[in-house]
Amino acid sequence: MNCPLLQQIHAYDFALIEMNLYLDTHPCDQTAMEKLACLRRERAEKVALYEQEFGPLIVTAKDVTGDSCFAWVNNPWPWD
Amino acid sequence: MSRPPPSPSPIHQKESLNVGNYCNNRSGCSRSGGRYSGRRYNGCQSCEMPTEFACRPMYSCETERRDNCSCESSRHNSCDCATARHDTCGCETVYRDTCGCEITRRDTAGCDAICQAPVIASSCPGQVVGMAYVPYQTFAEVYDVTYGFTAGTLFPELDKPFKGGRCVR
Repeated sequence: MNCPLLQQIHAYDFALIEMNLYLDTHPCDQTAMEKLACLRRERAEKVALYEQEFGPLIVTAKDVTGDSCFAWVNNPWPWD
Repeated sequence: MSRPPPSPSPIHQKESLNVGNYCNNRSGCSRSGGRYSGRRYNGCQSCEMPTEFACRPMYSCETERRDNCSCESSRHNSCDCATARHDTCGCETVYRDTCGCEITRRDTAGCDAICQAPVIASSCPGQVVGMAYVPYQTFAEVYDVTYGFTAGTLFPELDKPFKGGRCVR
């Protein structure tokens, strides 16, 4: 869990939840919507960088199937 | 350390007879008349007391409070409900009002934990009743995501120094 890139992704996840909560009560706030879109885009970039280096982040990642094998199992496991 | 309840004065006794009407007539009562028995002023229901009593604030008398490990409060209000209360580390509470009600209550469960817990003295003195309001949040600048993650909120206006103290009994 010392991966800086993974920590950044966690921070983006938290920020998106915060924006989610704000927009629940301000659904027509265009400025907040733009910030949400910006955060989603930046998070996607971080996830792409992470998956390029470490493999799929979650099992629903688009490249989880890899070339011919289930790439998920190639990830480091918690005890690795 | 126990404070006896104040003795009821004739005025207080008179008010206590009308406590029901008094409490229903606090808002909107006219001060123009001496008595307004059986009549309506500004939507008030009729009552039998002079208006100088009827339109006084409900809690008009002194309040003393000393909070540390033992909290003592003496309260008297114009509805003629005088209360003397003394909480010791034994959590013994005595209520007495001039309507003739006296209640002695002694709680033991959890008392040791309450009284032995450290008390943040600076958060206790001078606390007064207040009104709470929550203004609608508007979107402004937000924290950097990394800092917001450690601060616990993305919004600077919600980043409060929560200094929860005791004094909650």
